[in-house]
Amino acid sequence: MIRKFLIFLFFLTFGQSAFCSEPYVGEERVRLRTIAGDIVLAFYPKVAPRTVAQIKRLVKAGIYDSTHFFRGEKNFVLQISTAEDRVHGFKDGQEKVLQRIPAEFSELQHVRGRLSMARYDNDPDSGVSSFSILLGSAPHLDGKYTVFGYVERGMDVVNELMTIPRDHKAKPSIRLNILHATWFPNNDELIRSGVIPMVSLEKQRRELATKQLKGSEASFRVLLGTVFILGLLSVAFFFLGRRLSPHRVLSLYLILAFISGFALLCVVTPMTTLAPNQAIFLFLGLLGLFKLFGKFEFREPGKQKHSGIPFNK
Amino acid sequence: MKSQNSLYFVNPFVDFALIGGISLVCYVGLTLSFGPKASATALSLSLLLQWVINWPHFSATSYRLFRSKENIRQYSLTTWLIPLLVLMGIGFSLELPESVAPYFVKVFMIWSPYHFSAQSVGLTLIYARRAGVSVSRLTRFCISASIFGTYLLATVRAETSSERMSYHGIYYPGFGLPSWTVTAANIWFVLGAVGFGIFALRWSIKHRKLLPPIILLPAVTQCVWFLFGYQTPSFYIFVPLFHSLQYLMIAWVMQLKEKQTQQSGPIERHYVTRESLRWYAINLAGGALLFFLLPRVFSSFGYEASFALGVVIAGVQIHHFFVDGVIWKLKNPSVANPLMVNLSEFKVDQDNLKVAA
Repeated sequence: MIRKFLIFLFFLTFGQSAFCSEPYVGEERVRLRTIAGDIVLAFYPKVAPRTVAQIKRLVKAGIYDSTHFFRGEKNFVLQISTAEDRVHGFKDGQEKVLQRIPAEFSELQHVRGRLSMARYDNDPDSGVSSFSILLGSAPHLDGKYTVFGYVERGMDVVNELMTIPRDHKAKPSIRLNILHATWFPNNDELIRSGVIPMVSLEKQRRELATKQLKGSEASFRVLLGTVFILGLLSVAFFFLGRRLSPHRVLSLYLILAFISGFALLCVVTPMTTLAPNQAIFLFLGLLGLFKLFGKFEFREPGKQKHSGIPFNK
Repeated sequence: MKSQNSLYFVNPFVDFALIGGISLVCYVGLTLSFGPKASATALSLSLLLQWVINWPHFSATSYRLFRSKENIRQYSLTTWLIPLLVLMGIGFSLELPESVAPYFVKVFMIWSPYHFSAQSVGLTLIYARRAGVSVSRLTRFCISASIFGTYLLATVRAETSSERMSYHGIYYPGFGLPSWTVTAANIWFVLGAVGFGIFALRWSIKHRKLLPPIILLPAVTQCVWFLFGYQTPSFYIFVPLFHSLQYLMIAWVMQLKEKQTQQSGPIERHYVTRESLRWYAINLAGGALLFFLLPRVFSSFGYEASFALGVVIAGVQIHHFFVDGVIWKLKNPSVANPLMVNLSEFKVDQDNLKVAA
């Protein structure tokens, strides 16, 4: 009976160490105060001791203050910018703590809520300050990036940050600032200091929408003005067209096409941030116009009645 | 009689230097000296050289168009309507700094390297024609694809970002093209370059001699300008100057040829020198007028100086792109024929004059 119990205990212990996905969590905490509330981070000091020590050093030196989340990919990551992307410049000595740290790959999986150190693709030991909060499972990163902690509180804040529209490069339309990052020796200290719950970013979203609306209003005015000019020119060309040679009429229509193209550029370009396919048409359209202008005031050599420039036969 | 060096406008040394040699030497030198760092000395030098190279090249275009009544009659729309159109663009941009000015600058930014590429294609075709190399439609397409491919690749790389960029304080947006367009542009460029390479190889094998390198030089230079040059900022700022050097050489020789054709009597001694100096002085003054005086005239209406400078410079350059596209059509014999001239032909005339005297 005792023997069976010992065997059961052995398998229980073995099972825990082999299959348990949550390693030892350190006492220390970091609070990231963002524009949408606080995010509390906890760490795995036994899995990635050097990385955790680095984060501690950087937070204490104030490196993360005024950095921002520069990249947000749905179900993948929300990533903090590098230290160089701070709003405020470095103070004395701050730059000295920015040291590269070697990779500390582990068996820990990249799953929602975990923290993963950023690095250059071809250099595993190039992590410095930027890291990501995982928003979903990313098994292709397992064993290739250092997992060093997780979001203990504030995933609702992370979700709120992700509601801000982003462009096709996953860059948010407004700067998602980290106002301040603070290191706490333990959870009690953190609780004493207080944690701001999730703040709605509705105001920012509204401001963004108003800004876009104002932009489109201005663009609309440009469009109206252009349509007016085009109308006037079309009438003028209609009457002129009867007196002019075909190549001049073609040239006049090319001018109309150019003005229309320019108006489209003014109106559509602001929208291409969220619709990259429109950008392709716009870009190719512009190139097409440049190419078409090769026909401007050009008469086929055989049809040339008069040439101002002397001919050398 | 065509001389041995009729392949060149002036002579092998000058042609090689101005078409791309100086660019390539500068690229190597500046990359070795400064690498990816921007040099303040290089920037100052480029700003200084603008006065004597870049600005006169813009003026040379306007001078070519407006210098005779025949030209004005032949290109009446280009003479009257295009400046009006550009002035409208400048006016709208100055009045609507948020909704028009950025896109006016954007058009200039996209068109400028396109214009450089068109000139490189034109130079390649001119030298091919001078060398007696027949260029089929397919080869012409490959030449265009490879040269415009460098433009496409460089532009698409930059335009995958939707970040706003500043030009004289005017923030213009990027298109934000999808990243796969870079791969597409890469493929386009490589296919064009391979096609051009195959043509050069086939021609060399068929004629048992190398294709004259000057035919390949504009394309190689273009590659350095657009594909490698941007990694050396100290070099990149000189690219418009190198383009202007190419242009000035062609426009200068063309001007001389046309002047010579117009001359009914015998050509005087030092004709080439005197006519060249006169032409250059006009363009020097014209350049200063367009880029120094004109922006100041606009800013005197109460517009912020840097903003007015940016808008007016964009306008002047857009006007240049329009006009250049019209007056330099190689399909037009009145343009293409004088481009077959060599400077030594003027010297021959002078020598004859001396003998006659």
